[in-house]
Amino acid sequence: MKKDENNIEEVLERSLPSASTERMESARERIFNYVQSDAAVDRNAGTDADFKPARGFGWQRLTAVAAVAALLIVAIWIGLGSQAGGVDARLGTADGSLSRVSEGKAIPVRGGERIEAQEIVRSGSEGSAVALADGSRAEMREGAELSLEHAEDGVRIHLRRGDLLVHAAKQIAGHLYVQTRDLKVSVVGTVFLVRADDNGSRVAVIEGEVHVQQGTVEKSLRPGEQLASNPKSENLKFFEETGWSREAFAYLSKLHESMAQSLAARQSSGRTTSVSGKPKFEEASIRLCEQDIQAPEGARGGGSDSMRISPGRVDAVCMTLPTLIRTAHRSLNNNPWFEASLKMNSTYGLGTEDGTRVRGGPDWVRSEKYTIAAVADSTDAAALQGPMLLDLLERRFKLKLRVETEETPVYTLTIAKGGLKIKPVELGPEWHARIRAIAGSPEAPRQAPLDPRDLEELLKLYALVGCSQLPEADQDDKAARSRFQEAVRRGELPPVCGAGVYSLGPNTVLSVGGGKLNSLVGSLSREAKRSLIDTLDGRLVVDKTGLPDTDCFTAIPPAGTPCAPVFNIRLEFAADESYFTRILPPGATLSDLGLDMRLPKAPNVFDALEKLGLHLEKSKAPREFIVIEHIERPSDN
Amino acid sequence: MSALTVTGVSELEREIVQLFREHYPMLYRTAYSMLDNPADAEDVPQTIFLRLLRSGLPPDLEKNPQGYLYRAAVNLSLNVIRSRKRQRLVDGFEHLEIASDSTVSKGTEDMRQCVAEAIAELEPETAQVLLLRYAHNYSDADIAKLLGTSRGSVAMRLFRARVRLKKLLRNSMGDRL
Repeated sequence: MKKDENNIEEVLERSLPSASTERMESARERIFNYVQSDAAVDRNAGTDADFKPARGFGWQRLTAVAAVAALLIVAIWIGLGSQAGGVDARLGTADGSLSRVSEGKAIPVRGGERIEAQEIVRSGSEGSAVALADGSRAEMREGAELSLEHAEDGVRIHLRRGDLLVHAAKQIAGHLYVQTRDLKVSVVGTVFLVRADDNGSRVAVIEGEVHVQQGTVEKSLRPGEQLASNPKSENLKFFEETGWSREAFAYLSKLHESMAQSLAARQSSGRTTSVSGKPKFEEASIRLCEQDIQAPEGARGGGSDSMRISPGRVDAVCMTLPTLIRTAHRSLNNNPWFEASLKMNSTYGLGTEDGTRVRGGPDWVRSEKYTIAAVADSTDAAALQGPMLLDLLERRFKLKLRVETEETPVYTLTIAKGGLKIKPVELGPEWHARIRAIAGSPEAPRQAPLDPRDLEELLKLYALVGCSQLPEADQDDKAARSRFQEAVRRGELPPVCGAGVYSLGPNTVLSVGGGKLNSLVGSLSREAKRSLIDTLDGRLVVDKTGLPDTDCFTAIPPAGTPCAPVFNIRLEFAADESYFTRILPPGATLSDLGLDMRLPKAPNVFDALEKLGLHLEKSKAPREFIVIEHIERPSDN
Repeated sequence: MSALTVTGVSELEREIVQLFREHYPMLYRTAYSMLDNPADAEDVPQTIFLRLLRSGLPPDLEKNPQGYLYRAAVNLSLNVIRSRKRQRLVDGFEHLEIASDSTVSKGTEDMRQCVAEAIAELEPETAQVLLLRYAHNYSDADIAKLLGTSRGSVAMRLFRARVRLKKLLRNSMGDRL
């Protein structure tokens, strides 16, 4: 085999990521449940609904899980006959995990057996699931005991002891009841957890609404709320108390969705989102990460050092405290983190804070990593990842911070003596209005995918800016796409819309297509730690051009605020030679990366900027950083 | 699927459950190796089995279930990679400032992305062979058996795939379009 082919083989072997068995298995049940529930929806609806691929657990799908979960777990089919006095119980299958309790003996229930009314059944070590004829389902934790009874207007589950998760199907007429020693729960279609033990009973709602009666007192509960017959008993922690269920993930997803819907309903009716006025996480699980979770690197990763924001929820995977603090605390001068917030429903690899922004604290804050799952009555992404996360850290880690300022070496970017040589693009107000109408704003970005008409208009609007974009008609034309990319990279076409970073032989190209100058400054700061480490010494680049910086592309500025001028910029400069040795995986060559090092070297970054009428020079600037004054290992969940 | 007897579950669903149990690992691993993202990788087997539920089992699948499902996983993953590239064009304005952190190994990240996008440029049949070899470590004989072709054909496809991939990687490295 030729040497070139050997190189390609090495590149392939190193570059094709491999899923761990743990990751694969953790996804297996989620996918299986989803597929199963979708099948149930079809069966129940009796229609051929359009195929709509979706991710995660939708509430409708979960409801359907209740009807068919028997495929995965031990399933009991219990038909409540209309005849008085008896309850038909036909067991679909048995794995020994459900037993009939009679005269102190536990007798395994076998498939096809009839279970009489009032008979007590007990769940074994594997747990059990009971499916009722109306589509309702009750999942029993190990050791739970119950019997089924006819009620006047429905069915009653008599929970004698243990934990029960109930998916109540919509009742056409009547109710499903769950009775414990001291509480009576009535529902018409919902999901909730009931516990009965020696200390009393507790009901916690995951979805829908339930009515709980204790003696003569009746109360309604909504998602995330719970009620105990004994006021001294501790609140149930949803994360822990549903963990035994084989559908724990589904329950939690359902709870978050329900809370988000409930919040949206309250917001639309004008009700406040927070009783205290300061939104906080209502439930949070904080666990020490015993080992890193392998994941693909980069912003699309989902393993260690990553965070995901979703409606009513934050998930941080194996992150150090300084990284969490950096993410939550985002108001430092001259020490930027993300200039934009983490977007909803996206997973971000956040790396590890290296002392640039967060300092102080004991050594363990940098060696220990924590996984956090927190839910709240909020769909505000900025609040979830900012003040609410900070509040959680302050409460659970007894964290105290202060901000200090130091003079730090930076590079400042100013307009050169001869004036700016790049011309801003003139855009009218109508242009901004149309962009916002389609793409949304940073505060309320568009959630739905762009439809073809929107996409077409968006591309036309961007075309007015003068930046380059591949025509939609060419998207699937490989040759056209390749030509386009190459022409942009070589500067034969204007910069592509957005911000770009390209390698071109020994050079780096930074481009801004229809963007503000500060985008270039941000890119330079990143290159100071990437392809210009030697040249710029890792220093932050600070914008001192004096140009307005308010983004009027996707945000609505306050009245009278001058908009940042829009530019198309292409900046090509020679990358540090050390960069190329750093980026190469072991054994690979520059040729493997497709870099043609025979291309002429561009000017250095200083001279390249001068050509644009910009001047870069060493300076000092006050930079703020965070100091950990006090921190303790987290309190128990 | 075990011998569960479940009221209301069709024969089709039983067969699909059986297929899921037998072939899920390969489908997930295939998707993951191409997409480098757990959430996207989960979508691939999920989509495949949902489609089967909706449309039933095609004759090709019944002849060679593993080959059929594997091809479907590769093709769906290729679509995801292509759509990512399209999405980047229209998402540019909002995502500009969200660069990956400087502490992340840019070299590996760049390499993975370039390789994934280069594979997406290949013909699906070529990508199928390539992934079986390099993501699943199949021999030529195993690949031939799975895809219902000859060993010679597999060897030729692999050779051409490597040559094509090298050209594509040359063109694309450093590309952030």
